[in-house]
Amino acid sequence: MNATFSPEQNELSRIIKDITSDGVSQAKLCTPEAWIEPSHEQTLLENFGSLGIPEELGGIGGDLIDVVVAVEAAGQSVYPSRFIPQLAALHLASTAGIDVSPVTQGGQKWSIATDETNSFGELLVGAKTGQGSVGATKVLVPFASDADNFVVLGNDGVCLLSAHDVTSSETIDYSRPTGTVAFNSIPTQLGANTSGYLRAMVIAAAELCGVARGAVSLGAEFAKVREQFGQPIGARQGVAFQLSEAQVGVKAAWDLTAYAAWAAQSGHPDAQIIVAQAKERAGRSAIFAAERAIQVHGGMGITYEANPHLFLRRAIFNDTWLGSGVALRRQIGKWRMHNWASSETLKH
Amino acid sequence: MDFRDSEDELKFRGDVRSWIVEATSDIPNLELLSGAERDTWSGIWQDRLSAGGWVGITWPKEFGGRGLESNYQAIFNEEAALCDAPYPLNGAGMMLAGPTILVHGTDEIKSKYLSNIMESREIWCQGFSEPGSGSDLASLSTSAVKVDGGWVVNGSKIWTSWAHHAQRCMLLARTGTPESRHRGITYFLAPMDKIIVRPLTMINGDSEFNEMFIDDLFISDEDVLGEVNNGWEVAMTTLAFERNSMALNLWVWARQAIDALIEAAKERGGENDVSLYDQIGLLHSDAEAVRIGSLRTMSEIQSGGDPGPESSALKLLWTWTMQNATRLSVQFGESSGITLNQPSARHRVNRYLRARAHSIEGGSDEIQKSIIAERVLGLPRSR
Repeated sequence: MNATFSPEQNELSRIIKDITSDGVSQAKLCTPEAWIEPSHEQTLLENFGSLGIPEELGGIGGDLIDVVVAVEAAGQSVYPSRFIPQLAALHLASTAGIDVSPVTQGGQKWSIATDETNSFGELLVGAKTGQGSVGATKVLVPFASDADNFVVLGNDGVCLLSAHDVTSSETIDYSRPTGTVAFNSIPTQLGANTSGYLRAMVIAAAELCGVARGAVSLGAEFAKVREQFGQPIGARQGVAFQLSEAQVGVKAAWDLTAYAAWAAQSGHPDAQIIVAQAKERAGRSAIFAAERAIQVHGGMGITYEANPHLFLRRAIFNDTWLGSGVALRRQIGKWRMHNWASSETLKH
Repeated sequence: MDFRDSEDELKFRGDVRSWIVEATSDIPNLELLSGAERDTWSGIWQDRLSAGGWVGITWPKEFGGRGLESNYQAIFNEEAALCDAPYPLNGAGMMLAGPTILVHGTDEIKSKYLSNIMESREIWCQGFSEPGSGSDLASLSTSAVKVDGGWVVNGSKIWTSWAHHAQRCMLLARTGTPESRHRGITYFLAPMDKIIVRPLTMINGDSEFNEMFIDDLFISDEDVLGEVNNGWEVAMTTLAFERNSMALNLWVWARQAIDALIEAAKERGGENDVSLYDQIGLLHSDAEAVRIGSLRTMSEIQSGGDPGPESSALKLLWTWTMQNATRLSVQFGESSGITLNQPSARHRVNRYLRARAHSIEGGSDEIQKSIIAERVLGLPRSR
């Protein structure tokens, strides 16, 4: 066993953090009416946009651990980029054998269409993609209005489709525009392997880990300089301990997410639950951390002009997207109650 | 990053498993026994560990150990837990005193004590906390006064696990001025035969902890570990070993607490209760986070890193998981949860009450949060 990150992975994290360091101010520019492309969007997409996609499939290579390291780093500044959702789309597509070169070489923009209304966190329900024309409606589709194609998850496969109709939806997170997309056409490409959705969930979890870490850091930096009663508020346990508790969640989420990345790529028999627990925990940790950051910021924390709300918005969005935390907890609990005895997790 | 056993680890796991299955085959369900009976089995288990050569898994070979890294100890603990093996009676000797002596002991001290721990001939306890010095350990006031050939110690200690079975104690006493704080403490390897031990009954009825009264106890110069007045540094070594050994055990206990909760739910017709699914799902994720965090801590240690304050986060998460799982197992099922007619209900209540100690023992929640605030987040000291 060697459960540590490599020096190269630590370096990758540093590079992505450098590129995305102005994420918070960029996210702040986005409004319900207009998403503003962040200043280093092209650098990020060109250099890292196909991270984890094998070179023979047109990607830049690397494994899923590298992917979560990069995504977590971008999440720390709530970078308002299509980098993360598009990466999730590419992983879902390439796992199903769909040729992703239109993106990696052709410059197309793809999005990922997974969630449906009332699917209760179970992604493999609803739409069928297997035969003929696919009719489906997907919600929370990121960057839907300017995507060239959509990687659509059905309960029997994954397909590449163009949209029949896109309706922009205003969600809580303005820096990640989404739409409801109706499909009604014959797929251009089709694959039966749906397991790439686990990779997509891991990517969403990794972003939540970054959001959680960024929120704690934002709160801590403020608590060091904001003074009341003659001393920094961070010297008061009532303030400091909120952030300590949030930090416990940051570690829990990140450990589970690294493990989930490993489990998803190594074909662990319990990968579905291992990924679910990472996504569930990461959502919980990010929401808690962002709420604490707001609280620690006091009166300013509840204003639009302060930054903590940006973290809360992304946290809540991602917690719901790609399998909601509420539903995942229920799935995990049901599995733990009924299927644990035969679990492979027991034996590693 | 790879969470799989290496080939060597896999082979070791196989050897351990077959030994433990055999060695635990006659051990009854410990949950159904009294505290005294459990202690008896802890003693028997300790002797079997010695006979099987499992006491010093991470100790150097020249001292009778196997010379392996801590991940092998983790594998052993995991396999022992899967077979519901007892907690070894000399955990403090194996995991704390022995390793601390290996770091700070002279050759004489090593030859005097290590083989006794290896053979389970001497049971150890840890005499650090005092009635007036809990979280603020550096304020301790048990005193050691220099006399010819040694020291005379007076004072009292508290929360001393296993003292009622111990022959030897890792004892901190003040050898500097009362104001010297951590610069005036010395670490003694004290005999227990003249120390008066008073068991404390915990809220669940068990007596794991003790109070100790030390009255003119003579300790010879040879039984000072490290330098006089440098005991704080030695004590920090012991506490680091305590943290690391916790990382090997905590996740197993968290998993078992959820197992017990599920058993309780099934026993009382709750196996299809979705509100329980919701709560168990949350607890399971957290228990898994303790497990994975522990594995990552061990990997850090192996690759030469010091996990340090990270282990405070694991301890906090473990505590919440244990306390919430044991509380839910009592609350679920309404009156049947708190009515003690059934032995199973009695054990659940015992476990719940015992879990209240987790946020105090081994560094209280408040201490762990302070460590994270100051050493991870860089916030100003609040003390």
